[in-house]
Amino acid sequence: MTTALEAHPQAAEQGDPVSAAPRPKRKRRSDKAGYVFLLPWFGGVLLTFVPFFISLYLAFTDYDLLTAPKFTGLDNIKAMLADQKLHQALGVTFTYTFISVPISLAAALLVAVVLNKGMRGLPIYRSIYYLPSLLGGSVAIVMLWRAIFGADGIVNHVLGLFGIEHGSWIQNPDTALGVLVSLEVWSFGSPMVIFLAALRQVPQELYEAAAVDGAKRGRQFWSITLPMISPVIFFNLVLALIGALQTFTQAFVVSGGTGGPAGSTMFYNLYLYQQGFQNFNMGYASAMAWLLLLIIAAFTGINFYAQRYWVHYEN
Amino acid sequence: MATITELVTVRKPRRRGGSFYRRTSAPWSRFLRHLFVIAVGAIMLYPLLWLLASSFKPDREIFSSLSIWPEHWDFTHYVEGWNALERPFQVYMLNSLLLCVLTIVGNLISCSMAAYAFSRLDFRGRKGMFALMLGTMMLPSQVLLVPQYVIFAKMGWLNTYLPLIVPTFLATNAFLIFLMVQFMRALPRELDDAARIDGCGSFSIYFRIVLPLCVPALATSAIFTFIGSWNEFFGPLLYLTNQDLYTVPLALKQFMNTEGQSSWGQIFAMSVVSLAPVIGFFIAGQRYLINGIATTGLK
Amino acid sequence: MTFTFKRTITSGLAVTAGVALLAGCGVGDSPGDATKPAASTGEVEVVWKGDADRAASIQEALDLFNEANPDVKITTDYQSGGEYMQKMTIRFASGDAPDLMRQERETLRDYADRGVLLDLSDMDEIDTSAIPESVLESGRVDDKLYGIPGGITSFSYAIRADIIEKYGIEVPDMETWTWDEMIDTAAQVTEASGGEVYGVDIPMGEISNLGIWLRQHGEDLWDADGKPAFTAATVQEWFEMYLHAVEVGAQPAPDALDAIGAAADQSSLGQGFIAIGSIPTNSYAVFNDVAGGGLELGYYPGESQAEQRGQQVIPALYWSIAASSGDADDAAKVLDFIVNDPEGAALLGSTHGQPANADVSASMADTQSEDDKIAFDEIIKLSELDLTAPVPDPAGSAELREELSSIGDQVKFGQITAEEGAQAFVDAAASILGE
Repeated sequence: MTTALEAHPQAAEQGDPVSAAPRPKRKRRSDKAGYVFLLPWFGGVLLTFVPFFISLYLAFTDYDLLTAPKFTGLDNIKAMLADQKLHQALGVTFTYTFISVPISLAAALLVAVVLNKGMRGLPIYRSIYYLPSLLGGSVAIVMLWRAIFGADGIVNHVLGLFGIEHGSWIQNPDTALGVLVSLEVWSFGSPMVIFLAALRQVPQELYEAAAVDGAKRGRQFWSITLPMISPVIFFNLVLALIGALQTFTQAFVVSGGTGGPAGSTMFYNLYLYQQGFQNFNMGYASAMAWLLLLIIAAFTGINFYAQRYWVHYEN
Repeated sequence: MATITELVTVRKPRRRGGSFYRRTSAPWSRFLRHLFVIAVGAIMLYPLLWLLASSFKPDREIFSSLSIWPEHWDFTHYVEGWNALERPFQVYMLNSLLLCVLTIVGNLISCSMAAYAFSRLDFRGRKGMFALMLGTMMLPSQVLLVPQYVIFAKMGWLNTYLPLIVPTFLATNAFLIFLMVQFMRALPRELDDAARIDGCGSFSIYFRIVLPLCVPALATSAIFTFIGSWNEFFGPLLYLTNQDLYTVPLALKQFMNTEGQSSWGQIFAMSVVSLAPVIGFFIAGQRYLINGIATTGLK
Repeated sequence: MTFTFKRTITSGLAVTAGVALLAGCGVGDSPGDATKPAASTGEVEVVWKGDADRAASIQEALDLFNEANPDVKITTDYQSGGEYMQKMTIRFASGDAPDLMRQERETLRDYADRGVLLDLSDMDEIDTSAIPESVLESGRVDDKLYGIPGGITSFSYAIRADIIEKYGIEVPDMETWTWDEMIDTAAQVTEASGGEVYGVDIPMGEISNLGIWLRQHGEDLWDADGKPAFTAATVQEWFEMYLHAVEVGAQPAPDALDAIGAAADQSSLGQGFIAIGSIPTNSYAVFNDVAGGGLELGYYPGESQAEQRGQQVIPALYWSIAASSGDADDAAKVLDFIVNDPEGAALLGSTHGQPANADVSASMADTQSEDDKIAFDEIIKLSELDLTAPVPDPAGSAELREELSSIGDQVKFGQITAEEGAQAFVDAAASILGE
């Protein structure tokens, strides 16, 4: 039995499964094998798509898990438009996302640039910075943050040394969200490692050539470094934005599940959880989930569209 | 593509010297940079060190001192905290461990199979399915939340580990699949071809050639999965009602509840206990983790 | 197996859509009707809310029950904190309701209205004769008895007499004091202690406290039909009273105190950060223990001058049986034991409140600790006064509770005025409870 690869040696030489020599009616020998290996994934797709459509249906119903769903048309949408708490939740989530993500990425980039110049013990520093990002989403660390920013916490102690009195940052609706932003910024290690790897790939020759042309360090950064790593920045930006919009654990733990004080930590996901799994308004929760999906899709779309203005690809 | 291969093939010896120690400029600039890096490092680590120290401080001292060395050593927090909840803490740790191990097994098997199919096999619809898989990375899980919950409820899977484990056996972690695909794509195809000439089928190639070569990627996936699963809060919160089944994050959350008689010292002690495995895995597997995210981050 | 790509996709979509439709239809039926008795499991599952300590004492009581009734098998589970009712709902929804469970004031009516609780009036195993009618009434919805009060309690004000005396301030008479006198004393404490100790922490965002204030002014949170029974003006006065207290230094600023829980040993009152506070009456012993014995119990301020006394004797919890329980008779036996057996009650202690059964209560007088006796006497004293009888909280009361907490926070931090807060609360009540 001749294998397809033996019949098309060009494909074997190129070593790339995608670009085999174009022939009409190419026999895809490994169809069966491919599908068999993908069986678990097909199951996963089913587990993803069936709920996907059900949730679309539920978004237009009233459903409390105990009794059958009641179709209510656009009621949920009207309710969402009028729901002050929902609007507040969107506000909280957007504020958090658009403050913490840029700061966190900027910090990551800054530290990566500094580290990139090279120094002794760089791997150690890199590890030290990376570790917090693994822990930032854990219940233990969020509770630690509650202690640190509490009325008697470290932060207030330090302020006290300068003679500044302050109350609990957690109990104050003006600052509670800021506490979570600080936690997100503390977790900058993950994008930093990626940026560091990307920076190391920028060819030295570009810098040398620019130096010969008389470009200063700062200029080099803006004209060479940033464009060269812009695809990486882009990728991380999109992922970080999407992640931040879905924050839950930090919001839950810092407020004890209430989203307080005064709704200042009521993230969108927390509100969704409350509606769906504490009040059992599952139809409404489904509608909220779809709204989130649309928002994220819109964001991603905008980002991808805006790519052409600032992301520089090497091809 | 060549640069990714470079980074990904951990078979090459680690580079010492070389680009880590590029030419640096004036000594004062070096000094400032060192200062900066050390200062940032200290700020990053301080909360963790304070946590550790406070777990050994008597309650009174915790909030009155900033130091990372206790003035008086108090080990009772660990003992009392261990038994402060409904069950002794090891129950929760074992629960978490069980979930982690099963999750890792599920992820490794199903994701490597899917990755192998996407990267090494050719079949109808591959491009479309790959795109679909990438698309699911961007899908917010909230959309699936309510219906999945309802489905699991109707199947009687609530208050079991099943809703948390079964999806991991169904290759639902697109990020890991992507990571493995990147890795597998870089493996030389000649090995495949040689094996086929010898008469090996796809499965043998997968099992005897690709998988063994993928050990670094598998190790990375295992570590990522462990850390993610150990820290996971939302899934267990949603699906587990019986305290006997609680995982470590849920147990920690119990300390926050109104009926408890706990102190911050106990919370800190148990926090240290709960973070220790993550930190341990990190220290042991840094290389894999950092290479892993560097690879996917560079796409 | 050869098929075109298009056919794969379309058949895949069709399958998905079909399954979705089927699932959508299937989503409607519940696994077993929660309103009808299921088959007997041979076991009675008892579920309550609490921590490990409470669990130990309940287990002891249940073991005692088993000595007299060895053929009734009992299994138990418990949940501490806020998710208790949430998990309970999930259990009911997945057809896995326990047999005998604790119900809360806030949720009894909700569950009763859905028909998932058993009407206990016909159960002979449960003897309700020794429970005062006014207390028993609070477990009735539409003349059917859905929950037996598991213990009675109230909210009381408590003073750290030791702290107040330390600063040379006169301890006010808690039987006759007014709100102004309370705030005044509190302000004196703050000043005399140089800010070390604050005077009072008024639970301004806590709905039961607001209820007491409303009743003192001739209104109430809700009427017997569950509709709002208060005016914005009175709520506004409540908020303003709090703000005034902050102004004169009696009450600490809202972000001055942290709380990780309401447990006694974490409380500001127990730890001595504040000198006056409100506690559940039956918890007096625990709080006094933390306070080192310096705590005094008394009435709410303004009670004796008010149009109508605001305090109420309320059930601390209810015990209910699920309508779907297949072992209702056995569960009823256990319920009867918990509520009526003197020895069992002694083992349960006072964490569930004073036993509702008056005889049992009396029999405990000898074995109770000093502090528990003080709390007990206080509850008896209250029940002999002319107080309004409580009604089961209407459906949605839990949501309203959250609203008040949130609105209260906004007023506390100056985000909205007291007037706006009061109106917001009125609107919230109207939308949640209906008009």
